[in-house]
Amino acid sequence: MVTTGDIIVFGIVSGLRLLEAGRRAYVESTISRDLVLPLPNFNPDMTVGTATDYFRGAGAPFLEDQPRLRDWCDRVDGGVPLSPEEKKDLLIAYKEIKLLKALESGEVSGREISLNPEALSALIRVRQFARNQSPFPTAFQRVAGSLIQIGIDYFANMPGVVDERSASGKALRGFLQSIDELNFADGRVDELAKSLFIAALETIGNTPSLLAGDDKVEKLVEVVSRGLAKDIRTRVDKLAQKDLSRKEKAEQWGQLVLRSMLGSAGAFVLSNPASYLDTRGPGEEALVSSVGTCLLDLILEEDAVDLSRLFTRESLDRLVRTSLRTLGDHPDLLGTQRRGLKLVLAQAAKDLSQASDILCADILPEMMRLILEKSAANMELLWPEGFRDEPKKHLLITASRELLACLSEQAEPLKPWKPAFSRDHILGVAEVVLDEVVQNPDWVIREAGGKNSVLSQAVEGALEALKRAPAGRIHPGTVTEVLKAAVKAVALRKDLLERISMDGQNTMALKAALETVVDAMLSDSLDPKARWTLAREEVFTASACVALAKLAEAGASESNIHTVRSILDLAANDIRSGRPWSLEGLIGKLKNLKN
Amino acid sequence: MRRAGDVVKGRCLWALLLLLLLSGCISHVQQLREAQDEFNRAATLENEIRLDPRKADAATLGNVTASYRLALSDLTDLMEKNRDELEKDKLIGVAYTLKALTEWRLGDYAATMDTVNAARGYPEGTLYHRDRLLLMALRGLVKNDQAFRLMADKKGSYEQIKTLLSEALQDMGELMPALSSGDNLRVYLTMARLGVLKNWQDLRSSPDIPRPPSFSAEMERKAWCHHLKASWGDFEKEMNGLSTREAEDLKAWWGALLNPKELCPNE
Repeated sequence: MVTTGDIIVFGIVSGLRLLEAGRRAYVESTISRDLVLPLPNFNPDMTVGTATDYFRGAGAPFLEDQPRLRDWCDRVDGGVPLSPEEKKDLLIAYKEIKLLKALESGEVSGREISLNPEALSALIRVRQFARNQSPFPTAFQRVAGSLIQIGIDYFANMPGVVDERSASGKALRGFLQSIDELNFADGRVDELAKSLFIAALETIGNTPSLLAGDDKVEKLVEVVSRGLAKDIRTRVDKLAQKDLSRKEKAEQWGQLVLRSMLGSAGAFVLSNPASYLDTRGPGEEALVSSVGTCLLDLILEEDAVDLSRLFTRESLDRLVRTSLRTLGDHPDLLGTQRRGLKLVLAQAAKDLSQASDILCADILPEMMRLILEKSAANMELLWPEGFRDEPKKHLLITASRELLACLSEQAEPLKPWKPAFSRDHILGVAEVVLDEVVQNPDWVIREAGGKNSVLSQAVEGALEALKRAPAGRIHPGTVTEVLKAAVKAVALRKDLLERISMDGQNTMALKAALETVVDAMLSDSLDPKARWTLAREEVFTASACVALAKLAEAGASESNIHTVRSILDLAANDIRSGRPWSLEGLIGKLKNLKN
Repeated sequence: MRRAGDVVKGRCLWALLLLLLLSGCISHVQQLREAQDEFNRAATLENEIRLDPRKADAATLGNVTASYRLALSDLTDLMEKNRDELEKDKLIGVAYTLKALTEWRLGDYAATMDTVNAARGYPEGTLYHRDRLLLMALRGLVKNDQAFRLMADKKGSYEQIKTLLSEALQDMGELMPALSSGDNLRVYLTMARLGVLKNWQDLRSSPDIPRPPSFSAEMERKAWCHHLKASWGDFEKEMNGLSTREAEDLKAWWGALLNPKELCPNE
């Protein structure tokens, strides 16, 4: 027998089920509700841009007999402001012309284009699910008895998953300690920590030196990550409100620099932890951390040059390694504010960007690396302590600027001869030049009253001489080798830059010597058979380089240069007349040039 | 036999229990619905003003802002106090999406992206298709509005603003393959892209924004036309597909504003 109590309990249970089903249906209809989406911000009025674009497009013929219109369009294109009256008149002219055209073509409907707001709202009222694609049963089905099991996926952060005693565990703990100071109540930091965590995990896993299991690894990862996380956070906070594009860029480059630092730093840092990991005092960054933040600052600050478009992961890795090695040897390069590295690199970027753009934009990161690498060799001479806040006075930056300026000048359009230097060619010459400057800083010093430094004179003189080669007959790789030989020759004998009398003309000895070699081996007037052999890249390069080296030893007098010419002419005659000839023989004769 | 009094008592008890349970369990849903209503009201009004600026008086603009603020306040309160219930009911994705959209319209772009990032971690089934795509679209929408703000404030360089606008176009364009033709979100995004292009047009003709030395009006116009052609093609296709009077009017309105056929006749 069913008692009143049973009925009440049955009613309550059924009611609860029904209630839950109804509640669920209500929730699902809330999920599925349409949203009216507001359009993003833009000016819905016709503006001068609309009118100008029309007159530069289909309306161009109207400008021919309307000088006023043409002037307005030219000014808009040139960024010159129009007065409010002029703007108004430009728009009136545009609308009138449009109306006339519409009348002519019979397209005037007499109906003003007006939008019914409700119709628009209907068009951009967005459903959660397309028709018949809702994952939910209908309210009827729901209320009829179906219950959907709901649940939330919890991420189980199981203790013990990461063994703190293992090598990877120690590295991970280092990272986690670094982000411990960040305030996780702030959503932005949460995101940042996540992305850095992924970068750190991947790099730690792929870097054998970080898996040594040493306690120093933990410290390294902590110090590098802490500096970068703080730096990125400051940037992201500043940019989040103003510029999402730059904020994203800061996050991406932050990750990349972290990967590069962790991947490259291991070997250097772990072999010399005292230099790299110790901080000078409370609140100060460790050296390894300063390198990371300096490089990130350098890449993200776009005051002079946008370096983010030039750096690749590989060039960044190379710069990180060089920076760590250089600063390990010369920690004082960081300067009092720990920003000395950035000063040097930023100055290099600023000074070299223009010429690099003309020559080969990719060269810039490599030139920066080269300057830094060579800086370690003789720091006090190249960038004296007293000038550490003035990167302009860094001699290698000056030398690089002069070298690239000389090379890019040759590449200007409309010049008779344009060597298309590749990245490796330029780096090859730069390496030789910077090595010479390290040995003798006088290369970049201008003499009293002189316009050009020794370096500029040497490079310009050599390039001028090589221009005598007929178009297409000299390879950029050959130019590079000859330039290196010219620099080395001038390093041995500065007299090569003196002017001498050569065949009655007053000219620079280096230029005269090279012109002689070019004329004797490449000129159009040379017998074709002889030129076939002598113009070979291998033959010309070896001959020119040996001739320059010997003239540097013997002295670049008019008679010595004539002797070089005679040796080369003899070789040309031998080839033309079918007599025995060899490159070794030619080189041997040039080497025998007497002092 | 049961007395009539017992039956009435039982029914009252049942109704009371139902009421108590219902009011306790769905107050967070009601609050979310109120926020949705408030947002939709503000968005409808804002769109009206956008398409007919003559309606943009101080009172209407005030109403728009007030409605957005009210929606945001509801949502913030709701997510603070009823997060567990929202998660349990899988409403959290809807709440996050609405909050991000509201913050975007109120011009708090940092908060918008924080909300977007916070929501991204939720799985499919809590964050539904439309909401997921809307959150992704917000990247581009925010960039557009940041560019618009820089232009209005006469701050920033030409390249900085153009980068924001280009990325806005790219971010929105990347979503298009995920949307089928006729989807209203697709219609919305095609219009949003036209709005971005209008900003770019205004940027090109603005004397107040410093241009780079390499600026070429002709090259910029060509690049703009290239994007306009693609975006207009998508928009026209969507409108033609709808084949309604409203769609025709909308096409005519954008056509009069951007005039792609005459502005870019050779593209």
